[in-house]
Amino acid sequence: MVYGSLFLALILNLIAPPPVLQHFYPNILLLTVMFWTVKIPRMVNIGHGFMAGLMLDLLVGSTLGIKAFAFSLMVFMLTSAFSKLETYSLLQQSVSIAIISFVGQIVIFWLEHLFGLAFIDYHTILSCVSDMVMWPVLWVSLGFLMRFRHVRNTNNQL
Amino acid sequence: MKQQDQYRGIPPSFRFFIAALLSIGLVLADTSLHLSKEIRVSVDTLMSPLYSVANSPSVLTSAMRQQMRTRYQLVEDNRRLQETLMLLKGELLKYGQMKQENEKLRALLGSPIQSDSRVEVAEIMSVATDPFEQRIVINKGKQAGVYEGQPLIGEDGIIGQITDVSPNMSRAILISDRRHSIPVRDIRNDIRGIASGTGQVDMLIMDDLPRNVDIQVGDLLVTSGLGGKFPRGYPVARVVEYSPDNGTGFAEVKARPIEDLNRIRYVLLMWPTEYFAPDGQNLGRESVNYIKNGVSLVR
Repeated sequence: MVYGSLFLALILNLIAPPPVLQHFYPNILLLTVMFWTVKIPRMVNIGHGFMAGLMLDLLVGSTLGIKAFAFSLMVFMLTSAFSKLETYSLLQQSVSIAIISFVGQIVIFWLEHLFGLAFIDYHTILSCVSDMVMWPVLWVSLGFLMRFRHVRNTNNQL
Repeated sequence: MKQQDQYRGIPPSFRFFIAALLSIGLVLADTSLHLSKEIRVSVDTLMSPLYSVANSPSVLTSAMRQQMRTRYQLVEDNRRLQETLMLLKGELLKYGQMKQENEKLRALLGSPIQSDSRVEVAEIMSVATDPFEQRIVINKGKQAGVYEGQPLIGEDGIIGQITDVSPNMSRAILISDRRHSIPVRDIRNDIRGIASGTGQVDMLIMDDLPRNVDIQVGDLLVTSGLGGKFPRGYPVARVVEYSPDNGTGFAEVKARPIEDLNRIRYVLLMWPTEYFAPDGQNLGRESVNYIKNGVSLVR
């Protein structure tokens, strides 16, 4: 289920948004990785973040490693600074996610700039706002899916 | 189970350290050694179904829109298309004569005769969602004879050029990408310049022009053919803003691409004969379209 949702998120991330929403398109793949990192940190953590970022790098065609680095950084921030995220209220969670995503976007922006690819367009950093809006939706829907599957999985796997 | 516990044993900071090292290595390998090209080609081939899946919503909506069209709209469309066809045919009659005349004049002047170039239609499979890049993926690759640096045109003007070629698909960079520049010429007075992308789909920029340069809003910029990548004379952009003094001592010209780069679905791949095969003989002429000054004919 974890990999299924990650795969779905990857495809969703690849779908081109309408031009109006271009800068506000949420990073669904990132949010999904973060969700699983919060829920099952034993199974999904920095390695998965790295792989997810790398896949996105490869598929989007940007410089390899930039998103891989940013994704692993964001997951690292999540596991180290926000390890109790699950106990927060949904609003606090969203704000924390927005902060992490903000830092991540800045890192991506900075790295792209460093390697001579980026131009100054601060709008992309705003996608952390849509990440904030998207997080509760994802939290509830994936949480529901997880509970649904959990009943069968409790005894033999977790 | 044991493996899982071992897995948990690695502290996150160490794990992050490894990930960071790996990604920095990747970035360096990609930017300086260009190692990733082959990897990317194979991954692209492997992932091409994924692009189709990601592209399916837009395909689906356009298919639905096709289905929803009323009979009246179809009749209307048909009428309009026939009208355009008539007009184009009329133009073409004139064109044939002019072409002959042009060839004669060119022969008189002793300059090489421009031959027709081969074109093929390709469909766009996906558009880069990365806001830093303006790239597209098209469904023709090495097997169709696509090569790196090949010009892409749309029905109105230049779109971009090919950057990576896989067996069955290829990536292209749009003229509006920050890293793309194209040599152009003002069609009104033949002033040459270089139009660079800005990262915005509807804006190209020409800077480093002298302040007294004679460029006006509304001028059409066409490819100059210098640089040898793009064929000569295809529309690129129309000037929308001209600011002679932006504090640098140079004029800055902003232009809007003729082709609506946000809405392209099909592109024309072009094999210019002007530079690579001046006599036009060594390119296969079987079952191909020929493009003549923007009017394409199927032979």
